[in-house]
Amino acid sequence: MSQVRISESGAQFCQSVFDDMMSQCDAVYGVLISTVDGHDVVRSFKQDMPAPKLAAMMSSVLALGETIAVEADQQQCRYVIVENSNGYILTLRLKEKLVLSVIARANANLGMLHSISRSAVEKLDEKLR
Amino acid sequence: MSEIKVIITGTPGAGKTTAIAAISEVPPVRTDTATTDELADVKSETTVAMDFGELTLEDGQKVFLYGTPGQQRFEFMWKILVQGGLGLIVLVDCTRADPIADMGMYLDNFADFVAETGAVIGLVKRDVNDTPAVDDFYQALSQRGLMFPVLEVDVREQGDVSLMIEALVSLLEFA
Amino acid sequence: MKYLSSIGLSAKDETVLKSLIDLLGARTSEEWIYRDDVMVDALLLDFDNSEAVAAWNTKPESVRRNTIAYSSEIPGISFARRLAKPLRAADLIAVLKDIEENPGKADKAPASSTPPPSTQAPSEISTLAECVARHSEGLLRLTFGDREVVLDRQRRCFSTSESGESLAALLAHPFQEFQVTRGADVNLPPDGSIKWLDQKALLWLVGQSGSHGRLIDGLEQGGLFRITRWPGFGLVRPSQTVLTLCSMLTRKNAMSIEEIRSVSGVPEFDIIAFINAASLTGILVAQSGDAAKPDKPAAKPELPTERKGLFAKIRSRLANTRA
Ligand SMILES: Nc1nc2c(ncn2[C@@H]2O[C@H](COP(=O)(O)OP(=O)(O)OP(=O)(O)O)[C@@H](O)[C@H]2O)c(=O)[nH]1
Ligand SMILES: [Mg+2]
Repeated sequence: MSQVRISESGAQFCQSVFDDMMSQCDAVYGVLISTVDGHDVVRSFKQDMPAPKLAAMMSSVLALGETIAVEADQQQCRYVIVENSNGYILTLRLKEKLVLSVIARANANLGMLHSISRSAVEKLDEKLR
Repeated sequence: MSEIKVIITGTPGAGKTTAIAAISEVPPVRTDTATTDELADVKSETTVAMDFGELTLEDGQKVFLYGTPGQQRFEFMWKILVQGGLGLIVLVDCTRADPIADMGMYLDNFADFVAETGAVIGLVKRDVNDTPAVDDFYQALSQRGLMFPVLEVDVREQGDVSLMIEALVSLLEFA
Repeated sequence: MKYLSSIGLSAKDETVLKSLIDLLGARTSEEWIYRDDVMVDALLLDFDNSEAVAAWNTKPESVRRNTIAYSSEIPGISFARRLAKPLRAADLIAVLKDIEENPGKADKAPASSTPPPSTQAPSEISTLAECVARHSEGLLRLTFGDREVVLDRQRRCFSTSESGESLAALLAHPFQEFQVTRGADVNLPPDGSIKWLDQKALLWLVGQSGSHGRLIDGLEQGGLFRITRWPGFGLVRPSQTVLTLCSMLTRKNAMSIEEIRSVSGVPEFDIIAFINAASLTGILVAQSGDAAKPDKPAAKPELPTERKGLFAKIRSRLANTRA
């Protein structure tokens, strides 16, 4: 079990941020906050997906992305993007120990995804401890 | 020639990352991040994707060493990392509640890979009281129809890590 | 009913002994009989006869227990049970009664201080591995100059002046060069001043270093061998050869020395050292070579040379990391 727990109000706030993201970009059908070591914390999925497994995978992917960046002598990994034939998965760090993942259909605009994810992180950053 | 990999798995905090750092010729690639769960009482960072180190053989061929994450939630990484591997090293932290069950969990999860290749069991942190005897591990192995070396090691020592790999190689060649 | 025998007595002494035994009657609690051909309860050893002492030294522990040292120089001998020459009924009765009452009393070896020369080089014990294999109870001290090892069989531990590799090197000296002390003659410093370690580490090294190409008594040269687990290597890092033998001997089917040699290329000398070490540490399973071999599974298929080459390269790379 994860030790990172979010208060009721915190969770409500997250949900409202997730709702905003989905309304701004209706291709988004899943948003997940998890810990850097792979535990799922809060999520909003429009379709059934295994949140615990995704949480673990997102932490691996982000850690690999950050490590690859260093190996390639690049700084400050901002996002890890997995681009697929029928969608995108975009992952980025949230505060020190959390990860935000956004899952969208292929009709999403990647620039748009970046922008709503970035602003979600800013809002969450402020509100979450 | 295909790549040669040795995979090191085992309980969180057993010393997979430490072992690879002890023997790799190059600074190991690590994917450790902050621990946010009860493991934080034991250590501040945990591996979430893999550790990676390498050894160079006399003709220039490389042996890659991969450390897996320890927690079962990362079992998808286990499956990715063992592909094409030469064999498995399972580190078992003997300060945990049930080290024999821990060993069994990894042997179950890596069963197909181990059946095709072989495994060496490394018992770590034996300097505590009340830990099962080495014979108990052999008995648990034999109940699974397995006969692998069970070695008491200190993974901070390069020689001990080397011994596990050598035992693995001899097992693959002669057992 | 108890049995008594003797080693090295003169013809006259032997006759006297037999007639005394016949006359004992009810003066001992048990009936004593002189017999050469059974497992005896007491053994009279003529301690002034050095050949007899040497022969006695090679007997198994089970035979040597409850030995009575028969000598004209009692003070020089540190046996728990002694008889002065000439043989007298009262003394014999006393010592036999003692054996009846305390059958387990530690058996003694000739004191290292005044051993007849021949006891240092008993004719049959020719290796350290053999010596330790036969010493299944009590204390055993091996001294070599100012270096020593003390083995305590009861407590399953040992102590030594040496560490790791230097202990292995010490144990490799020919057995004859060690001074051997057994049982109560081993004077230990007060407890607490000695560091005791698990005897298995020593037993393993004794087999590895002190075998000199000779199998321990009871193991057949033509036998089939396997081990039930990998040994705990303890103090000394195992060589590649030892790792190879561990792998081969943990196969399901026992193998002969010859088979092991031909498959692994390891010299017989090293295979014997390994088998002795495995026997001493209790992980060896030995079957008689005559026993019908179980249906042998097809031999392990020969590895492709490419793979063998790879393993050899990995070994050679790792050998460097162990220096
Ligand atoms: N006291 C003691 N510490 C040890 C011993 N062996 C390893 N350690 C320590 O145990 C810790 C092991 O940590 P890691 O190498 O990160 O373990 P890991 O298996 O990679 O752990 P995860 O990545 O979280 O699964 C290190 O701090 C080592 O120094 C030992 O025998 N005794
Ligand atoms: Mg690790």
